[in-house]
Amino acid sequence: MSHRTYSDTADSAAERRREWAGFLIPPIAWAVYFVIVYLADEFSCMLTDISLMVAGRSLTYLLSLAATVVTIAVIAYAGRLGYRTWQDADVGNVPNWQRDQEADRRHFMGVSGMLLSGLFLILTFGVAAAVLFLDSC
Amino acid sequence: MTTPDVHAADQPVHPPIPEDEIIPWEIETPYVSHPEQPITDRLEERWADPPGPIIGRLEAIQNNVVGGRIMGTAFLFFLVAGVFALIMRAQLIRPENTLVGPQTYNGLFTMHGSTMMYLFVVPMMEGFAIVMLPMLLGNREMPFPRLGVFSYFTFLLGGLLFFSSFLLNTVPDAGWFAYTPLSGLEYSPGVALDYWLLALGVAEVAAIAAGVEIIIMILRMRAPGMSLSRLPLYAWAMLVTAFSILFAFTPLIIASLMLELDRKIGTQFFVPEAGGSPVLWQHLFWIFGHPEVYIQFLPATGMIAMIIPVFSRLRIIGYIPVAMAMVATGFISFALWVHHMFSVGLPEISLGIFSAASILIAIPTGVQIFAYLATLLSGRPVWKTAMLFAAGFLVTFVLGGITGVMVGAVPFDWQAHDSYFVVAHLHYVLIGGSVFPIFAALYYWMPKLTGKLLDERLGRWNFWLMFIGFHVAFFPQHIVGLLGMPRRFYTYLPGLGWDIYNFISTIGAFILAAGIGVFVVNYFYSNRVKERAGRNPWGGDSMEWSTISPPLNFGFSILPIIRGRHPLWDQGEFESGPAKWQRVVRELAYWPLHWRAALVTSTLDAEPQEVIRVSGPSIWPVVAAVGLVTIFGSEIFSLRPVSALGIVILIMGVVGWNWPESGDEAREKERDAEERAFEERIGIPVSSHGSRIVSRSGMMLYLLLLAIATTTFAFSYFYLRLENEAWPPGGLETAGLIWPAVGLVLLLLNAFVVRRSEQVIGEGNVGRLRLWLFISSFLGAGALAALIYDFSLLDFDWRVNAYGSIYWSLGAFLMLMLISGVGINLFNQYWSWRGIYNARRHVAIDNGALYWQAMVVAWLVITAILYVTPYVL
Repeated sequence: MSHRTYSDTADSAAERRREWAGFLIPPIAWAVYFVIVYLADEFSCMLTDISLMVAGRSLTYLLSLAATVVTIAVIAYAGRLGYRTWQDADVGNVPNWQRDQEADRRHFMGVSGMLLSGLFLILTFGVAAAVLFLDSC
Repeated sequence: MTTPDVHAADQPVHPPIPEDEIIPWEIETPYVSHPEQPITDRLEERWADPPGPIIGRLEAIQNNVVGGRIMGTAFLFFLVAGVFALIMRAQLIRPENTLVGPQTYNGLFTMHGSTMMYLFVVPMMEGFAIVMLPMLLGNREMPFPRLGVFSYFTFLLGGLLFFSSFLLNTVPDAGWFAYTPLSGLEYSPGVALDYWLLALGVAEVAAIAAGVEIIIMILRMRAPGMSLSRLPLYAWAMLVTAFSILFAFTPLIIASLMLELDRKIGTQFFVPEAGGSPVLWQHLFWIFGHPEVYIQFLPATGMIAMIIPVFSRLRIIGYIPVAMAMVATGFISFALWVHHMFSVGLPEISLGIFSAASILIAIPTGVQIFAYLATLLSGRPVWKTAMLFAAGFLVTFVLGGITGVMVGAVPFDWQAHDSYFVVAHLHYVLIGGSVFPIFAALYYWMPKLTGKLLDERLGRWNFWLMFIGFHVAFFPQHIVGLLGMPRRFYTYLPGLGWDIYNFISTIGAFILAAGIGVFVVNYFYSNRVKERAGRNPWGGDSMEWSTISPPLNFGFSILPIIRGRHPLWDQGEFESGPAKWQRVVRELAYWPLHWRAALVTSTLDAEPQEVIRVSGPSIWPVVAAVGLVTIFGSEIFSLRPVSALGIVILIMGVVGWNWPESGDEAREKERDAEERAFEERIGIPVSSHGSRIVSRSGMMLYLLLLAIATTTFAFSYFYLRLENEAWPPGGLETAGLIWPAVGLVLLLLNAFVVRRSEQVIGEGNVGRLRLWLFISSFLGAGALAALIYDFSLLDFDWRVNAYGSIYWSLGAFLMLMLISGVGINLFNQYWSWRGIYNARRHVAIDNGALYWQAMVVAWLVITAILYVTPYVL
């Protein structure tokens, strides 16, 4: 017996992937970013006999800067996915319980994606402020 | 057999109430289904509790029973831990008091903290979820009822084991966090810390077991139509909490295991002279410890998110921001742990990162608080006791959050660390953020659970005594902490300006205790005296209020179809929906199935996907729990023969638990035919021998646990590497890459073999299945033998230094995983010879295949760490 569902078309599968991506990418990207910058700083502070400098900045600093830029870009991209999902939902002013189920779900996933992107962008800036402006072990 | 016309929906009892309108206090609550007597009788018979005063009670499996027992036991532990607190406060009422000595005081704060953190809040929250979630989500039962029973008995027996330390006068005394080296063998030579590590380890296993069940329930077992956008906020909170439990408790279990190995068999993980690190313990503990407090807060905020709208008579304002704030809080909580270690001497840049995250978590927390305030202020509040406690939460938790932002600032924390300021902060957030909501939930949901309302007058006394008592007890502690009073000291000198604050604080503690006492009186009084509560005494909005009070074992005879976030306010009936869904829920009620049936639905939209059989009563989970506690308990005293017996009992319990039901061939054929007919009728698969979806999800979560455990070991490995100048230290050498390579080849072959075994049984070829399973066992055992042989060639053991300890631990962990895989294969082989598996029934084979495929990844990761990184690092 197949597990196919009502809306199991190729298009709707792609849409669902977009919804999940917009929802899950911001927290996961931020978590990965946090681990990278934390480990990079711990390693560089513990391995004091290794200090590679490039253009007047430590390798750890440059790695953290690159990770920050990439994370911001990834989260912003996820926010855009959420925005597109929200736009496609187009629920209008109809109360929640009168909406078409798919449209309501899409609206929810789109708004959620945008909110999570916004929040985790702020968190990225917060952590980046510590990483890029503090300069001591 | 005829089924009523599926297109005839019941007439709605009231029209949907417009979105921004105040909900009337008295609303007509729609029935989910008119309980026709023959259906109800059949369901009651199918879902009846097992008979017998002792064995029947042990075997009882139904979620209301299991969850209720967990909650009751947790509450008793709460009262005991509260008594410890009162003794401590009595000791501190005046300077140089002699009520208890320093050793006793150390035991008191350790037992108070440990009991509250491990044996009260988390089990209470999980027990409550087990009771509530099936009703709230419009389904019949949790996905793994026997796992719930196992969780309860490990919790109960682990807790009793923990408290048996009093009988032997070996009470743990190193705090609820047991920092090394104090908790190591040198400074804690008796068995007190072994009690702490092993007895609480059992309770931690219980928490993880319940967490797995909760995740699958919320993601895959909701009523049709309850899409993620319509999930009750309490379910969102529990989903995040359950994932957090998996990610947080697993590192704690590994860390506790490592410390216990240090104490028992001479490993050196935390011994600095041998390359170990006491700070590693702190990292591992707080990687658990900080998410733990959010594990306690999130279910509470979920409860508040259900209670405030009902008593404000308004749908919650900001549903999506609140749900996402809960999700975000769960993620961010794992990035805060170092704020418990600000004064340890870590690099300043690390402190800055964690300080930023610690302060910024106030954003999603604030979103929730503002949403609750907006709902309250926009509605028409009705100040029942539950709402009073919700307001108490708002006031108290916010104050605790403010002091949390203060201690999140590193320079401030350097002054406040280990002072009573922190004690005040943590009690504001924990009592405000968890205990007040628990009491709110008890007053709100008690009429549903017991059928009796709690008395409102006694409830007011309960609340005001607790609220006033709490603030009188803990507010002065901010001041005395800033005046320099350290925590965890059994007394203090006079004339330091601390006397009056301690005196007031002690008075407040006893007022708080009196308030809790009033609750206990209220509970017994109401049960005896009060009239029965109706289905929906509060005019609530969520599905549990549509059942009778207390609910029948099977919850709903006909599962509801959901169209809104607040179903009882949004919908006047629950039968309208797509024709296929209507057919599924009606047939599920009317079809004369001979087993307990529940519905599995898709994650996003809750479309019906599978009808499954949930397991019935069994004694085997209790046996498994007894086995586990026997192992842990005997290891406290190093009674190896008893541990061995415990292992036998545990294996018996696990095997018995998973023993498939098998009947004669004729009966199996009859059942298969019945299931096929049912499948034809409803158009979705029917799995009476184990859900493909639920079972696979369970295996995937188990593999996730193993991955987290491996990551914890890996973190420890690399941390210890950085703590040592040379790696491996002492010139130790590994045995080379030959045997790891041999093992990898065998496992890769095995991954192919198990894939084939899945395919052949899917085609119904049992003979081929037996052959592939045999080859798989041979290959898996071969990889295990290669690993064991490689380790036998080593000229160092786990005692030599920290490198030896982590090396052997990683290897032993991999060996255990391989042994489990071989065990699964042997089980499957036996049942394939017994003729259980066929084209329709082979979930265990699929899960075994998934497990062996994951073992390839485990092998690669662990052998890369052990054999490759010494050359790279």
